[in-house]
Amino acid sequence: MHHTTLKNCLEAFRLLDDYLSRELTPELEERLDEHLRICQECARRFGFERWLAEYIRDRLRQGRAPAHLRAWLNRMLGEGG
Amino acid sequence: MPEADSSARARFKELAVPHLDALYRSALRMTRNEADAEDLVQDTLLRAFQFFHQFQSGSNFRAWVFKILSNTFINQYRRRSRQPETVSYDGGEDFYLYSQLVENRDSEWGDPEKLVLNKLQYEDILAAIDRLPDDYRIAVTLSDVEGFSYKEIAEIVGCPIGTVRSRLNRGRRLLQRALWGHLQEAA
Ligand SMILES: [Zn+2]
Repeated sequence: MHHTTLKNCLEAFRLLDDYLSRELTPELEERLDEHLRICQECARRFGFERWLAEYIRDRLRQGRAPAHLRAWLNRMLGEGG
Repeated sequence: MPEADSSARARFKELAVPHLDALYRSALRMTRNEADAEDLVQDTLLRAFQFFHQFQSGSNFRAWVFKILSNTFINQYRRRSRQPETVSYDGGEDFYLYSQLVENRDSEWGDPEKLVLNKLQYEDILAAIDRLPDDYRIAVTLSDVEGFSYKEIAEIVGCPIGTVRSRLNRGRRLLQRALWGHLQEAA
């Protein structure tokens, strides 16, 4: 298969969601990486998007179940397990 | 208690307990209030235990129990949950937050990342997510917080993968608009 660079930034933009979800095919990932190496503005934009996604994920994953809910589950399933 | 039952309990406990935090925080994003979130998690785990014999040992327990969470929410809670403000969506606006931050940058604000770190509170992120319509909010939570794949989300919420992608696309862009709103208030 002939290997081409992404023609322009718009083509890269269409890959943003799959990039954030880590769902790009290896071939598209390689093409995007190639574009990000030569296009500083896209590198900056995509870098910010991934940083923001990771920041949000890290913050929101701190949410914990209340202790009494955990206690309820233990009671329901028997303390000893 | 019969032997079989107690060993099923032990097996269920081993699988379910590690996901309790994730189930609760996802339930909280779905229902947007603590009392309903607790009820939803309890209903989910009771149903999961009731149907545990249908769970295929060795398959993805996390996706299986989240599917029960999603079904339970849709069937029992969605109707009585308060509706979010209607949000208009005017098409694809990629990199919205980044563009706003760069355009409105002044010497004091600095890097977009630094600005988000300094001015965007945990509560702002929660409020921004909670303003999304149900379908977008659930897709964003399952993907961007809990890390499920497109395929897993499609199974959990019962829709095609293309629908998952479009909900994520729109949800993330609406989220960035809401985050920008919070940043402007904080500035
Ligand atoms: Zn570019």
